[in-house]
Amino acid sequence: MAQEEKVLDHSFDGIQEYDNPLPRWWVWLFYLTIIFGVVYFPYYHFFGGVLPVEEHNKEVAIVAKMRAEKQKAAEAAALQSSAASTTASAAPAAQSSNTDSGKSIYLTNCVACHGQLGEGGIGPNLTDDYWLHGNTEADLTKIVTNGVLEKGMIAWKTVLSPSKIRDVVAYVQTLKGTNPPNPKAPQGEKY
Amino acid sequence: MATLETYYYNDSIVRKFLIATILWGVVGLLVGVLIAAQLAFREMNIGPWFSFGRLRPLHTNAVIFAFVGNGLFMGVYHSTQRLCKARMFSDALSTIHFWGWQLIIVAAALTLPFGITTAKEYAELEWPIDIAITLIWVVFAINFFGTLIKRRERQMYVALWFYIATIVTVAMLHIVNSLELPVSFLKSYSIYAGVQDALVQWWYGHNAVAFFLTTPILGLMYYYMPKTANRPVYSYRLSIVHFWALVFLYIWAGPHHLLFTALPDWAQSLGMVFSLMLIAPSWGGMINGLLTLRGAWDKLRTDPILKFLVVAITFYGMATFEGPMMSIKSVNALSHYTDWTIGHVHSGALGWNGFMNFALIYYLVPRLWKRPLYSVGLATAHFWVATLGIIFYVVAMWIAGITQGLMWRDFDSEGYLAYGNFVETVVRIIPMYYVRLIGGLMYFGGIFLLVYNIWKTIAGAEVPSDEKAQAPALVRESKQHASFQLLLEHRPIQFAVFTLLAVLIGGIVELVPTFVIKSNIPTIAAVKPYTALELEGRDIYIREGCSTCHSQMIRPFRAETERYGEYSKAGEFVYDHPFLWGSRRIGPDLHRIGGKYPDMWHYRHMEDPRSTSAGSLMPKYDWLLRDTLDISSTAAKLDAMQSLGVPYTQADIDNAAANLKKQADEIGKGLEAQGVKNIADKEIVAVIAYLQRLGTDIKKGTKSQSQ
Repeated sequence: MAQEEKVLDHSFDGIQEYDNPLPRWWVWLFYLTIIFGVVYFPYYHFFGGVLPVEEHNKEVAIVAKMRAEKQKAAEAAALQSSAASTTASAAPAAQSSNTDSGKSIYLTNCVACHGQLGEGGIGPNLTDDYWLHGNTEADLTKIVTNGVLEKGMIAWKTVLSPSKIRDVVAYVQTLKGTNPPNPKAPQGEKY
Repeated sequence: MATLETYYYNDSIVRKFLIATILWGVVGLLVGVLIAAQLAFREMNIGPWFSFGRLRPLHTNAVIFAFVGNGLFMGVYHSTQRLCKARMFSDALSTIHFWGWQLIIVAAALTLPFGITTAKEYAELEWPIDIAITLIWVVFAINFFGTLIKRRERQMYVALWFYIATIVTVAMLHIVNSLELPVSFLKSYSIYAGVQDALVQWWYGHNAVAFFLTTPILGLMYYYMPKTANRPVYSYRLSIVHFWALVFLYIWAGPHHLLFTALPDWAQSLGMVFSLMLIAPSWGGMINGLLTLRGAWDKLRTDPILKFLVVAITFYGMATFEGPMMSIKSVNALSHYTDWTIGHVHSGALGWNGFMNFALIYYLVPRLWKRPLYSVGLATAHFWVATLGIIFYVVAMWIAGITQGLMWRDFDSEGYLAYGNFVETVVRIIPMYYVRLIGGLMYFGGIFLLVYNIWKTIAGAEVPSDEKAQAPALVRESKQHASFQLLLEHRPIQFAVFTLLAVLIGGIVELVPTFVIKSNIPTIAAVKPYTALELEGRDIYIREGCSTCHSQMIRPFRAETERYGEYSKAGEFVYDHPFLWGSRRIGPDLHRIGGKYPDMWHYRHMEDPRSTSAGSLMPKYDWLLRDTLDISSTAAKLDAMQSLGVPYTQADIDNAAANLKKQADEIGKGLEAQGVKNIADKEIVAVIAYLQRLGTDIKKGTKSQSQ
């Protein structure tokens, strides 16, 4: 094979070169990538291909709609069950919140600021009778969901689903009066 | 017939560069092993000087500019003289080049661990060193082109084309990217801001890979491969086509480092399609390298130099396929910010660059010291342990990168992030950091086999005098060349000018519109300059190398906007000299960190990251809590920013210290209320001020608009 190839008549410090043609497959590979570029760029920039931001906004809209529908369905179901139940106030909490799951959510996400046992740290003590923004289930759900930005409480709604928020709120409500060691001084009003 | 001239090759300069290559190879790999260990065992971050954020740039600079740099100079000085049949143009310039380059490396080692950095990747060195690099590069250029001019071989071989492209393009890249306004002897700000700074930086960063780590090494491959195999090069025509295609196309691909960022979409798409077009031109080099071995494959069994060469070229082919694949937007969406990229660059650095260096060292030592290599067996052992090391390293990084990338974007059945806590995604990949460390240690161990082998070869050897050669002098000829290419191959200056034109086009098309067309960076009225305190905090962020591990660029993916908040907009960075978007998320993105946590959280987090984020890898930054903020140059910094176009008023500059103190006292008071004493004048307060400001301007904007 090598004998049939033509060696060019120049030589550089003893290095010679064959006069071989460009490998066919290589040339086609090159053409293919060029054609791809020539099609891709105009498609996205002149003929309405969907660019990243638009794609993102579409996806966000779909998920927002899905969540709103889910929320509505959940509310309807809650309404139905409370209408069916005679003790309306106890029903929604008892219905599905799970303090075990709430505890594991607490341990992953909350201990950094509120302490391993809810004794407080960067954030307030969750075991005493004093609360900054109210202590009902509805108050706590609102605080966890939307955060209290000026105090540094994060909005958890993008991280925790409503059911998880319900669980962690239920768990936090069990902490009251547990008297852990090294409690943080009370903050807020007595409830 | 011209008279036969006798001349001597300057081999002593090649020996110098060879020794420097080995020395800096050991240093660069040592720092690499150290920072790999720091990710596996965070306790190995010791104090400010030896923390990951400061050492990582030292590692990259040492490997790129010291190890590969000296290696390419070694090969260029050796092969150019032989290909030109001439001694290097000037012994004095050769010596200045050598010692100047070593001093630059020492200067890097003496500044980066002290936090003296511009924060621009692979261009971290401060302005006095940038000027020194420019001067030494000019010395190299004069010496090289001088040699071409006085050559005794009429036609220039393909290796020389690649060297020409390297010298011309690196000069252009370095100068344009390093334009900065000095504030003091060792502090400067990039003249570009935000999106523009990012584009220039990655035009530089990508093409530093192209024209410092690729083209010169391809040139070396074109010389040492046929020399070692003793076979003709596979195809002259292929070398012409792939050279020009590579040089022209490479420049365009820089924006693939900025996919899904605030860079204008058209520039991102150009970066992607040109990256794909690079596959064939890159593989042209691989084909010409590997097919040159036809008819000599049997030598591979016995010759460790050929083993290193063949595996180097194979890694080159693999990395130049992987790179374009990672430039495809949908692949990049997964791979960007992860260890996949780290694995990719190491198949290039360890496989291609490292192995080419080793091949050249084993090739050159017996020739330069006129002694046979002490042990071929040891060189073969070096080859095997290093090859296995690379495989461990790269595979670990693939697994780590893909795992983490998938975790970041994973949603549970209810549509919420499956791993909302970032630390979970870090803890998961730590086992891969152990594997990577093992791979790195194997590669590092390999270089000691080389050191021992070379030491035993040259110890006690009498350094031979410069090699003598003879060739007829060139006489002027007025020959018609068959083609324009052939003409260029006979005219070094025209060749250089043409190369410069080829590399200018892509840069101009991408850079100029981004700078002059307003719509590329839509302004946001609510975005205001940083306060004096925030600016000082930002400079500490730069000093500590925070951007080594934290990005400030939220991509428009739901997985990111849910985790971090609104995606980043071009108009938010118009006062960011330099930009701090980062390229790897060892920790989470920080662009919307402002207002997310209370000041006290940041205080505790810097004191000990584990106290707020269990399992975090981040080193402690407890010195920020102790060290007093240096405000001696605050006014000068604002003044410099003003010169760069940041709209500070004269009053802002005059009252910089007072304004700074006022804001610091406020933050200090808040912290004191929570039990921290005497904190207002410490560095931590500036860092907190900066972090609390990050990404918040845009929220004020929407609030005031809706009201």
